[in-house]
Amino acid sequence: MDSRCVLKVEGLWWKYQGSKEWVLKDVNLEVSEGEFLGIVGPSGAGKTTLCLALTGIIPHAVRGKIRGRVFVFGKDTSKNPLHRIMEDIGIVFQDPDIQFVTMRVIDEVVFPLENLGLPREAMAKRAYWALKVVGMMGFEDKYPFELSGGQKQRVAIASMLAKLPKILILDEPTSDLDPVGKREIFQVLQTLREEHDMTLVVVEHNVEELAKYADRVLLLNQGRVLAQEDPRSLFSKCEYLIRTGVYPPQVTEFFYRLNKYRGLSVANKLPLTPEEAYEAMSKLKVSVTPPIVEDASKNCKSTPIISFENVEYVYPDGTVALRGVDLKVFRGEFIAIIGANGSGKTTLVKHMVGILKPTKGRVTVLGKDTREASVSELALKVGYVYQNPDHQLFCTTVYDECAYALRNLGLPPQEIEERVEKVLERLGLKEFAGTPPYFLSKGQRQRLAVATVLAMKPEVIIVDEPTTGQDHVQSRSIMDLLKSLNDEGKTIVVITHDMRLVAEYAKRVLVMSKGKIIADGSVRSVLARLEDLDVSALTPPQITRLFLKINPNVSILSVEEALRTVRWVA
Amino acid sequence: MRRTFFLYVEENSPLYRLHPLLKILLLLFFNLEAWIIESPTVLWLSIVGVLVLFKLAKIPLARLLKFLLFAAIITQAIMFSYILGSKIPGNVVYYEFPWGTYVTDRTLLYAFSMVGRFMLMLVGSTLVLAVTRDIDIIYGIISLKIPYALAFTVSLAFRFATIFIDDYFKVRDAMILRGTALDKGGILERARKYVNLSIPLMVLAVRRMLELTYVLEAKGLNLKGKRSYFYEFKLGSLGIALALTLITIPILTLFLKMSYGLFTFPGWPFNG
Repeated sequence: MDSRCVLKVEGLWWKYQGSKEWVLKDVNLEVSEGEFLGIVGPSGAGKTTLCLALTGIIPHAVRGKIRGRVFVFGKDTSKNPLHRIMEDIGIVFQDPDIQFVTMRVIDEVVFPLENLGLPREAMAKRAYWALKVVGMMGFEDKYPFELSGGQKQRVAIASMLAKLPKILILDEPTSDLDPVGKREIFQVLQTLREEHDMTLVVVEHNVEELAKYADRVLLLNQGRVLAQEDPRSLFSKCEYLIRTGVYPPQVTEFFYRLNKYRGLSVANKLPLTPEEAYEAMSKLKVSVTPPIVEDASKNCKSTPIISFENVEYVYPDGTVALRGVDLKVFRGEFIAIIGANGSGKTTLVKHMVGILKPTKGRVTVLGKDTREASVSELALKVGYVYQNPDHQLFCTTVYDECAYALRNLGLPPQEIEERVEKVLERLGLKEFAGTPPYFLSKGQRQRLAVATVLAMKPEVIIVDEPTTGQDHVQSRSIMDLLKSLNDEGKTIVVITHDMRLVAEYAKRVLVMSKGKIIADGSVRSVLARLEDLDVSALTPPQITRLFLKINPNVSILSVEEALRTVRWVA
Repeated sequence: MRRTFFLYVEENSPLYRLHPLLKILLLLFFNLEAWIIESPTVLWLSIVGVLVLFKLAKIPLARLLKFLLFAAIITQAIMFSYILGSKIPGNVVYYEFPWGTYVTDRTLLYAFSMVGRFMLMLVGSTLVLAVTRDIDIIYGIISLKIPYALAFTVSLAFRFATIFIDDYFKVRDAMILRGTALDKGGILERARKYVNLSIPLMVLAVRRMLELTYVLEAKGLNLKGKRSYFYEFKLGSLGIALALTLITIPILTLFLKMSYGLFTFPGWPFNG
């Protein structure tokens, strides 16, 4: 074993008890001291299982069948007690809430140290050091419900950091976080590398950040390691990655396609960041033609179907969540609502379905004041799909799930049957009609959640964070579905943090900050307003940033559009 | 203002600073006293005493309003059960029911006494929990030489109660959005609706528990091994005296009740 090798996996196979399929298949891997290893792959690739195996939680705390070996600093994880292995390794999981097992920040950070049996003084020293590293000094007495998702995740990192692990593993640490939270986490990781020379293993769907920071990226699919290379080399294999279900950074894909389809050798090394791409572009003899823009106002001539008039909402604990919101939603729009956590996005859409009624001002849905209408009455007009599908699935079969609301409405059985069959067919769930919802995959459950709403034939469909924790293939599948519904005339309102999907699918964007709508307009115009986005700590997609840098008047929304925009100058 | 998991409390209140063991003893004290004492006068005077402690501990009495509905329901249940189903002999018989029970002046007084017992438990427990953090519970239980596993389980239950409540509201809203009127219909129909509501809650809880197992392993929780504690609570001589008082008073009350009939029903001034 190489002296600098701190993690070694030799021919690892793993399957969970009761499962027929191997989740990990012949995984071989070595990680050097101080290295930043990124792990990418579609959902179900085995990324989390690999993380559990690297820490020894598999096979110590999870039942299943194992072949092969994992070494941490030369110690075979299967032959050493878990707490010994954990002394060298820290792991941070995806859900910031579940990781907070005590009631205060300081208690959370000292908890692993108490388990190690450290003296009180040493605990205090390490805990305050860890909080300082992650930028959470001054938050010691805060409770979990007083922190944002990004702050909770930083506490989770501090909690592991205080153990002084030599290796830190992070399993999708940013998927539940808003853009501010994501940025905070990667800044902390950067600090850990630069100042503490820590070995990092990070599973992440956000390849653009990984490309920036990782030394090496491992591509995992269906339990097998397909590649482990430096980011530039791996992300340059664009078509291969997309076939696997991993989308490369936009600017890398743009240059790859310029090379391939335009037959141009535009760069020796494909760029990974907008800055590198800008440098590469400046060496090319190209002109940029602004795209032909559709008139965004043409949809807005009808009567609004949802209207907010100077709406204010104050929660019972005194938190002011909406401040003087004026908004009109028109039939057939595809609106994306973006903004940091706590900016008021969910509060806003809950007013559209009547779950919340304004403290001041007025909300009308199809001309009716929501204060005078019941929630179930409004639900016939406006459907709401939750971020986590498990919050809205409670029947014993997929069929019953779709029929549930229709039965509550008292529709005749024949009509219920017709509607349910139609909607299941539409969403590709017909073959699962008799299956319990919890046996479906997360992507299928998400579709079922949409189906339950769709069966009620609402005019407006609101979807809260439909792509959280999903890979790009699943995310696009959901967004394609919403787009097709929009093409059929449904009004779509989506809350999302994924700016790439906002740019590619939405027609209108609302930017929220501190309970106010600070920007509202066509997606192209809003993404070009960098100052407004910056206030909400949002960043336009890579390709938009690149072209805005080239020409501040050219707002590009996708790689396809970028390719159409570039003209080669002889 | 700091927030404990029950109420908001000023950190500089003397009760907040009590040793966790004393907080647990105080909780036991109120509940034991309510169980031993039968005399309505003593019970209601004790309640007044606890309310004075609320003032001393700087806990707004308005916080008790949170439990008003709960207290009203229990009071109603106690009063009805004694009025409709007891045979307590008394000086004046107000009413006799066809099924053989009757209402006397002592029936009402006994019901009043039982409400007093319940109220003493409620306000006493609220007082203590208002100044108790989860850490106090862990350290208090450990001070009683009860295994850490139990202390940690209690603390974890408090932490996850907040997540569970959050899930509950989301699922409830999702059901309402699909036309469920949770509070309409007969008992069976309502029960069926709440069973539906419980399904996603259980699924979410099971999924979270699995992840929680990994998290606790990652944090090196070792319930059997030796561990250290970050906080140090010193039980000074005043604390020891208070602990002894809190243990002695219920024993003494029980002794006086058993030996001399003090604190028994109906007690002063209703003896005659």
